[in-house]
Amino acid sequence: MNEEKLLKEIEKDPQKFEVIYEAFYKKIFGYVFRRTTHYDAAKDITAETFLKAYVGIGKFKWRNISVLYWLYRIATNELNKYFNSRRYLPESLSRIHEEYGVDITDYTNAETERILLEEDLQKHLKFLQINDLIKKLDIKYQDVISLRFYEQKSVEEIAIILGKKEGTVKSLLSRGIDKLKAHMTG
Amino acid sequence: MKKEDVDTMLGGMDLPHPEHIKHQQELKIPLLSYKRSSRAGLWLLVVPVIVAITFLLKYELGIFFPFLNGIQNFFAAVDRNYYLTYFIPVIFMGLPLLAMIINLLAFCHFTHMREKQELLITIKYRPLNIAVFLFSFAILVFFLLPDRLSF
Repeated sequence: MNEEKLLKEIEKDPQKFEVIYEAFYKKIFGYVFRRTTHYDAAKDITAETFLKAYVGIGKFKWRNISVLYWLYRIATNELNKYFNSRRYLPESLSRIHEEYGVDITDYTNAETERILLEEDLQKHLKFLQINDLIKKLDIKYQDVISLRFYEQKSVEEIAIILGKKEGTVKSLLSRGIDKLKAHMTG
Repeated sequence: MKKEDVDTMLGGMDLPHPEHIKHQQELKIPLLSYKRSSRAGLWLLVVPVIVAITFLLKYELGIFFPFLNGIQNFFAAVDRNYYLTYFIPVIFMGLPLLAMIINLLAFCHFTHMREKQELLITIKYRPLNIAVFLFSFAILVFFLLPDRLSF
């Protein structure tokens, strides 16, 4: 996929955003699901991420950096809101709900899908145990650790996603792992 | 436990990869049609609304603006043209009608239940679309009144 060309096409025809949606939805949903381990929250956050991206795609300027990193950044910001508030409220989705009365995350096969994904999740006990410990860390450490070890992103890529310097990311990773170790042994 | 051990453990973890996601397709259509229908309806109404305002200001309130007279003169010239005159009803009745249909379809959903031989009509609460629908209807009625389309 030539993203630069695609972005120009989206400027003329916003419906072409569908290509980005199809290419990256699963990756972003997977990332959010691994971090929240909660099906409904993952669905809401991913929908909010793509809705924000769809509305704001005109502001995304091509600098030889894939749209995927931008999507990761939006998703990470939404995840931070989710973890920082008791009750996460996806703003754009709520606006659609108020203006149009439609819940775009309300669909027919939700229950079956939830059961399948949560059953699969229970097969990864080690992951669930470690994830619970990671969730006890400050959100800044959660961000870098999950991007590094769940999403297999390099330090350089994490720096792009989070808009931080590589040195800062390295330092956050190192301190985050130290703190995680302390939780494991303590 | 050493720091490297934690690093290795995290790196070698068996992760869940949600593969069988079906909701992606159901979410796509409403997401990509967000804001589109009511916007489309509004663009279709621009010309009829300007002309309707011209009429109201000039004939109902007696207010004259050179700009508004210019618009009226332009459509009077179109109306006098043998071929272009057919565009007049298309612009002033066709476009509001089209805006009405687009917005009606945005808040009305029709489902045909074959087994019961029933047609289910669901009206969704979408204030923007309902407002644009009613506004289009008002514009259409305005131009259906006698002499409104004689420039």
